[in-house]
Amino acid sequence: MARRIGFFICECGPNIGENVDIDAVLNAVEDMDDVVLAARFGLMCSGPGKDFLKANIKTEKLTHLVVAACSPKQHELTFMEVCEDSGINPFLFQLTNIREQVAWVTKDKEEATEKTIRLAKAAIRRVRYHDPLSKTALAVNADVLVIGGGVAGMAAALRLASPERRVHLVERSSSLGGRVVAQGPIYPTMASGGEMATAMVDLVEGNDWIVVHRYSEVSVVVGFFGNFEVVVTGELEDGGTLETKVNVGAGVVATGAEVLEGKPLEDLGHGSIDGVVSSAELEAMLADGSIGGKGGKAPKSVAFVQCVGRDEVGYCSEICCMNSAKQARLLLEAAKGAKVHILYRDLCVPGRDQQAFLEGAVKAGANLVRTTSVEVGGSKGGITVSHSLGDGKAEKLMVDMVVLSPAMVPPTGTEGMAEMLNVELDPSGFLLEAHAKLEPMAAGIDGIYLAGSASGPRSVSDSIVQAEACAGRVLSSLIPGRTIEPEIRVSHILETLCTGCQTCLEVCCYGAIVYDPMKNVSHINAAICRGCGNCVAACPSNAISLYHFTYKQLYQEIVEAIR
Amino acid sequence: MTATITIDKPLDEGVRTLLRSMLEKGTVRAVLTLRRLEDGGGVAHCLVTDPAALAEAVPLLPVMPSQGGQVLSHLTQEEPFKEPVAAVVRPCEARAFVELMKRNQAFGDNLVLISPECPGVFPVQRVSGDPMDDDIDAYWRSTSEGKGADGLRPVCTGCELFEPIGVDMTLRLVGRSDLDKVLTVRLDTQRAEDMVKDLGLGKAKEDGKDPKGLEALRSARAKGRADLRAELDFTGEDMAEFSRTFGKCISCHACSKVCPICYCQMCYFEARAAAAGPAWWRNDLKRKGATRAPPGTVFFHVGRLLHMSISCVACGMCEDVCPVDIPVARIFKKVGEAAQEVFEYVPGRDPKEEIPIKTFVEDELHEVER
Repeated sequence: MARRIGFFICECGPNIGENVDIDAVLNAVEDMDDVVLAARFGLMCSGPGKDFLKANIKTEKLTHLVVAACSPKQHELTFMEVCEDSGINPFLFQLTNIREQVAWVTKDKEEATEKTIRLAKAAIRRVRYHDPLSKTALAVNADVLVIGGGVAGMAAALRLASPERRVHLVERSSSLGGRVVAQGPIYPTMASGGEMATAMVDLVEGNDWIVVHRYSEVSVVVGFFGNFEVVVTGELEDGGTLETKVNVGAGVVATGAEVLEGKPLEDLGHGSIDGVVSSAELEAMLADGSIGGKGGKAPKSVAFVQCVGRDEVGYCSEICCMNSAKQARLLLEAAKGAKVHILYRDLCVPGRDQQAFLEGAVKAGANLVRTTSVEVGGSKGGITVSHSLGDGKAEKLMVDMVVLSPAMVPPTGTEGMAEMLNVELDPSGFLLEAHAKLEPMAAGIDGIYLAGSASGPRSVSDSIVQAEACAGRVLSSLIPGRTIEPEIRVSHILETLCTGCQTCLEVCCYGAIVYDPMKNVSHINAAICRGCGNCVAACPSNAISLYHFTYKQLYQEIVEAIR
Repeated sequence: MTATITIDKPLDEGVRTLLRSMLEKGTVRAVLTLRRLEDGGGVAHCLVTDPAALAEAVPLLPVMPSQGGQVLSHLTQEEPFKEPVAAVVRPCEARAFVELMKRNQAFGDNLVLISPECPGVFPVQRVSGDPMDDDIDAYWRSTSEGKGADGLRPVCTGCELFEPIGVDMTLRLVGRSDLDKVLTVRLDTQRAEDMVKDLGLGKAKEDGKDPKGLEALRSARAKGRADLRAELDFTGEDMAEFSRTFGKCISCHACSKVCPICYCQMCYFEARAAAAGPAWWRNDLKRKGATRAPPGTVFFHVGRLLHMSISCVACGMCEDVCPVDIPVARIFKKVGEAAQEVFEYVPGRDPKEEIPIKTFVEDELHEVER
């Protein structure tokens, strides 16, 4: 059947209409081979615009469609749907971007028109070589893997679990609850963190649809959104291991953070000077009554040292200022009349409630002191804290207790986790989100989400928000009984040309390629491939091609564009 | 620092003695060496297990009938040698082999590499017929004086990597006045020392001072390289120059057949539908009204430059086999070295060094941005 190509140019209101001589473009392309119609419309993506396309496809019996309009990111799907509705294979369509790439950036109208003509001709030339592609559908597995049993992981699991959706919650330690379970009152409400976390643990353990894997780690994750195969390795009491295979459709990583240890704390006397403790140690002392309880000691003067290790890790851990304000309040209640100094470098009190909470601590007697550097030394009468106030001034405090607020750092094993999941790490070693602002809960891999401190230090409330966001993403896309349509513009390997050199394996960002040693060739898993084309470019034997971006199609497009 | 042994026989005879004792003592199961074929069939790489068959071996004959790296890749592509095999190859052949290992086209297990300080080779055309005796005498005289011989492959005269890298044994030849009496073998690895211990070839000694001639050849090669570049009428910077240089190519593709780095089972340019189909010539005709048929003559060389010049070991095989005298190897050496410099990459230096295409760094090469 002869090709009948329809070319349509969108004015995009004044966006394209005023900057490009549209009639000149139509004149230039109407005589091209197989072009049976060249037409313009005001706003092609609008209802009337789509109806205009559909009517013309029908009356002119079009077989191929080319639209010159905006970025494919914005409306490629819109026009592919028009094709489908009109009985044209959606891949016999080409969108060329003359708004972002011409009208908005090329000021001279004549030049813009010339450029548009080239792009339009290139797209028309290209579409002649398109092959119809058919979409495939895969049944989704609605179950979810949650890695980490802290508050973030538990919140996600509780939101996700249902009779139609089993959740596998994998926890490295013996018990659920994470760091929060050891907390006393938490800011800003001063409700008990421990009680809150314990209540969540009870809910998780009572939920029939959550399978808790304790003493366990995830050792293998392969597959793709909707169909991941996971191996959970559990530690047995006799020292052996037990491997459990589970299938899930998505994963939530809620591996949390750890507290910095070592040199930055030791430099400030931790471990060598009596009375120098970390904030976590103070939390435990407050909880078990060894401060303020019956028979407990009550320090008369305390210095909190903030930002311990901040220079070493290179970021602000976000939660420590508020945590020290909270602990100062608790100390002042437990040890009436005590002097409490908080030596800070910058105060981090964002949000609606935090400033008022900090002011409450000051009102209760905490002395906020801005400092630039701190030294801690032991002496007979207590602990000396020398610190500089800037402007060359210095101050010396004598206290009975020093509380160090260390930075939060990625938990051990994060690197291996990142490699296994194919998720990137940010320079500080936390898991990197897909987009810091637009997708802070998603990893760069489809179907893998990040909750809580796994991607950086977070407060309890922020962790819960993220966990809920992860659950939202899963609930809205991984619906039981539905099918998913994997990308079909993917790479494939022609075995007769493949030399088995495996260069493609090295450049594949998605782990989509495997090597078959029996046949000495590589294979691409079409369901994992995202069609980036790295392997196509890297293959020396020209054995790989990418559907919809074949050499022939690109060659034809380029030939016309640079003619 | 490094142990050295001397064998009381010169050159080929010395190497034959070494190989023979390795075979006889069972240190290796086979050896790969150049060898004269029966009935005057010329010289070729041969795999030898019978010590008697080493009588015809000419391991140091200054020719390269096929690239030893490519030969070893063909032998080990399917699976590694199961027992130790010694191979006498030139430094560029050893480096090509390393590049092929990086591309999973060869296995280096159980392979003992023996390589000479390489004075260069004569063009491949001289392999058969004329026994070259006079020229070979002159060749070894120049070598013992640390001078380059006359009549070598052009790229050999500008080769600065004539001393082996990453091999087990180095045959010390350059600048040695006793070349006609003894063969000096440096043992570069522990494995080599262990092997030689039981051969009855005398005790290993500390390596002596480098002869003056070695330094002389190093300087001569550096100058040779500069001369090659200066004399070569090819900058790689404009299309007309590509057409002028590669226009006389008859598309026999012999250069890619003998190239150790061109390892594809089937070259894209051999696939007529891909490289010579209507998609190619129709556009050319529309645009220019005339096109070379089949098209792609020059593009073949551009493609080869793109794909393999980063790993080009400048062995010179391609230029030897070109029937229309295109200075292929000199061009590939120049372009290859330019690309290698950008990535600070020396092909064949270290099997663990990844080829640059596998080591993508986002923040680099800003100088090529406009």
